[in-house]
Amino acid sequence: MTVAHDDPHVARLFEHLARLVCDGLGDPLDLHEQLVELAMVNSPDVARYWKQVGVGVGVPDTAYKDGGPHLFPDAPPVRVFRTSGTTGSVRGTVRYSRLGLELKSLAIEANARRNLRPDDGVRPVILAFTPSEEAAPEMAIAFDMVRIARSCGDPRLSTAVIGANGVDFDLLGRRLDAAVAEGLPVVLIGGTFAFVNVCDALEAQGRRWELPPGSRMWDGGGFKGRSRVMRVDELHDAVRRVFGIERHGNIFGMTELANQLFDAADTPVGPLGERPKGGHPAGGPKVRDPRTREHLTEGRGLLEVTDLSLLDRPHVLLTGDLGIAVPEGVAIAGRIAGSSRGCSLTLDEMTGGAA
Amino acid sequence: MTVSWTPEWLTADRAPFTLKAGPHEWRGVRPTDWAAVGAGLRIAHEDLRRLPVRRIVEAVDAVVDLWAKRDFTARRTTVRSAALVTGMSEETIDRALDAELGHLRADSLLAALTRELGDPEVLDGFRGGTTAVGPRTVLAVFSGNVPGLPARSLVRSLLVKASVIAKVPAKEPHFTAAFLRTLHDVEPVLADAVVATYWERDDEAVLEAALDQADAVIAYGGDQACAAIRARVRPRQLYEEHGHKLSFGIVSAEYVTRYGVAEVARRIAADCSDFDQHACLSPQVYLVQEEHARAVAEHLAGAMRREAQDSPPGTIDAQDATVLQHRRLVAEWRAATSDASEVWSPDGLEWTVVLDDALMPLSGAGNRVARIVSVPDVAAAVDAMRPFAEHLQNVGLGAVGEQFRRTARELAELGASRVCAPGAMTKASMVWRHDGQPRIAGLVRWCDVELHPELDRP
Repeated sequence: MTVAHDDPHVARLFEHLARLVCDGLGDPLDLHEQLVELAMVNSPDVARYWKQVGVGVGVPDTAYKDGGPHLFPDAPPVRVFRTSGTTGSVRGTVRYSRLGLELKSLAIEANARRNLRPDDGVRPVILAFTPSEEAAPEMAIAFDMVRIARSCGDPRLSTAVIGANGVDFDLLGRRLDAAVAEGLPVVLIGGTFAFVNVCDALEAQGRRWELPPGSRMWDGGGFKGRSRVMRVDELHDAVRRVFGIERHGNIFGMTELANQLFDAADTPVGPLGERPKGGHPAGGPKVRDPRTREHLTEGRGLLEVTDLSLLDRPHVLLTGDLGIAVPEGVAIAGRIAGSSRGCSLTLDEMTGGAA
Repeated sequence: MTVSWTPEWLTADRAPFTLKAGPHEWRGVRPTDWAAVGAGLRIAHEDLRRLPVRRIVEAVDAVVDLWAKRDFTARRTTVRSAALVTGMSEETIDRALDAELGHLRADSLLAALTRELGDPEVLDGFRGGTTAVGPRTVLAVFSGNVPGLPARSLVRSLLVKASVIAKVPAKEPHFTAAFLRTLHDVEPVLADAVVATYWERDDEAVLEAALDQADAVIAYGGDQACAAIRARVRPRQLYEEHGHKLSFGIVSAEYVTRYGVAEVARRIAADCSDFDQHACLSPQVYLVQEEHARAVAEHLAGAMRREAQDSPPGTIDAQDATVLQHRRLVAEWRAATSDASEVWSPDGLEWTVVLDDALMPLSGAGNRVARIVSVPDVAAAVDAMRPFAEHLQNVGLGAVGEQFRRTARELAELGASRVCAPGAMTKASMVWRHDGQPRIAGLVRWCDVELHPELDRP
C-alpha cells in the first residue's frame, strides 16, 4: 500500500524534515529511517534494490537516465529538472511534487545562509554564472541560484550573468563596479569551467577588480569532460588575479539531489587539490568501501550523498564519483572510470564513458 | 633478479633503474650509449644470420621445454614476481604461461613459418628463386600485464633473424629477461642479439635513441601510447602496431542445443576468467540468443565460482575495486527494475555475472565480469557490435553449420581478426595472423631471382 502525497503522514514528515534542514533540529536517524520506509513502500524497484544490496545503499545516478524512481506518481509534478548529461550522453529527468519542491527550496536557502553570508551579516552581491530561471526552467542550478540570491543576496545588484550569448560581460562589469563603489562584498558562483573561461576572457581584456573584503567565489562541477584540467589552487590564483578575491570554495550539486554540499575545510585532499566537503544533520557525503560496501571513515571509495531534503526520490544517492574520506569530510575526486590495460579496451571507454 | 637483459658484449655505460609495485622493487640497467648498442647488435646480427632457421626453432623449443615445467626455477621465480606486480594469482599466471609457451613449440613455429612464408628455409637462402630477409634490428615496445605476451613478437623477430631491442612492460617486467637468460643457456647467439630494458613512457630521448638503431618497430599499448611511437617512426622503418582492441562472444540457440547449457557456461567462464579478463583477447560481453540467455547466465554463476576455486582471481587495487563495485551496483539497480536483468556474485569481488537485455548502459571492466546480453538472434548480435567495429579483435563464436560460416564471414568483414570457439578465446596460436596481419611475413623483405639462366641450373 503506497503512501499518497497528500497523506497526513507525508505532511508530518515534511514538517520534521523542514525543521531539520532549516534549523538542524530533530533526529536525523529517525528521519532517515522514515524516508527509507517511504521509499520501500512507494517504490518496489527501490525495495528490490535494497533487498539485494543492503537497505539504504545509495541508488546509482544512472537510475535517473530513464526516469528513475519517483515516490509520488499520484501527485502531478510541479517541476521537472533535466540532468546535465555529464554522466553520459542521455539526459535524465527528475520530478518534484509540491512538498518536495518546497523542501528543496527551504534547504537551498538554509544552506546558502550558512555558507554564503559574509561573517558580518551584510547581504553580498551574488553574481551567478548561470542562466536565469526563466531562461532555463529545467535547469536545477538556475532554480537554486534564485533561492540562494533571495535568501542572502543583495536584492538590487544580485543577478545571473549568463545571457542568450553566454556570459554578459557588460552586465558583470557594471555590477562589479557598483559593488566596489558601494563597498559591498561579492559572491561569484558558477561552474568551475565558467570561471576558467571568464578569467581567461577578462585577463585577455586586461580587466580586473579588487572586490571588497568578504567577497568570495564558489565554483561547482569540476572539469569532467573538459579538454583542460586545472588544479584547484591554479583556479584560485586566476580568480585572485582577476577579482582580488581571497576566499574560495567549491560546491557539489547534482540535479538528482535536492541540496548542495559545500567545502568544509581549505585542505587539499584530492589529486587536483580538491577540498573536503562537510556534512550537516540534514545530510552530507560519505564513502562506501569498494570491497565491502561499508561506510569508510577514512580512505577511497564510492561517493554516496545523503540528502534529507529529498522527498520525491530515495534520499541516498551513489553519485558515480570517487570519494576520499578524511577527518574533515569527503573530497570528491572526479568520476569513477574504468582504466584500460595495455591493449585491452572496455566498451564504455569507446563510448566516451556513456556506459 | 634483474628485469633487464644485456649481453656480455655490452660493456658501455649503463644506468640503473627501479620498477616498483607496492612495497616491492625490481632493478635493471639501461644502456646509456645507444650507438654502442646499435653497433653491438649489428655484430650480433651477423652471427644470428648464420644460424639456420631450423636451429632457431629448435633453440626456442628447447627453452620452452624447460619452461613448460611449472617447477623450473626460472619460471617459478618469474611467476612469483609477476604475481606481486600484476596482482594475479600464481595459478592464473601459470595457466597464462602454459598457454603462451605452448604456442612456441617447434611444430607451432614451423606451422606459422610455413603458413606465412611458404618454405621456412627461404630465411636461410634462395629457395625456388626467392629468399626472405628480416630486419637487422627490431625495436619492440611492450605493454600490458599479460604474462608471457612479449614472447610472441620476440620469437617472431628472432625467427626472421633480427636482433631486438625490447622495452619490457612495467606491469609485467619479469618474463622477458628471465626467458632470455634461459635462451642464452640454450643458444647464446640468439640471446646475444637481444637487449631488454625499460624506460619511462615519457622519456622521449631514450625512445628516440633506441629508434635510431632500429629498422623495424613493434608497438603494443593503448591508442595514445601507440600514436606517440607511430609519430616518431622513420619512413624507412617497418612498423607493426597492436593498439586498443575489443573482444566479445556470440552464442546461438543451436550451439547451446548441441553442447548443452552447462558446457557452454563452462566455456564462457574460462574465457572470462583467463588472465583475470585483462587480455585484449578476453571477452567484454557474450551475446546469447534469448531463449537460452538466462539459463546460460545461471549456469555461468556456478562455472565462474569453480574457475575462481581452481584458479584464484588476483588482488584488485582500490581504483579497480571502486570501478567494479560501482558497476555491480549499477547492474543491481538495472536488475531491480527489469525482469530481463539479474546479477550473480559472491560477497567479495572475485567474480560477477550480469544478465541484461541491452548492451548498454553497463560494460565489463575486466576482473572476471561475465556479461550475458540476450539478443533475438545471431544477426542482432553482430549488429550490436557494429559500433565497435574499429576496435574489434577476437570473437568466441558459438554457432554451428551454415550459420557459423556466414557469421564468421560477417564478423571478418566487420573488423574481427580472429574467430574461435567459446572457451578458446585467450588461446590464440602463433599461426593466427596477430591483429589481422601476417606478423612474420610482415617483418621480411623478399628478393626474387628472375629472368636469370642460373635460376634453373642445379
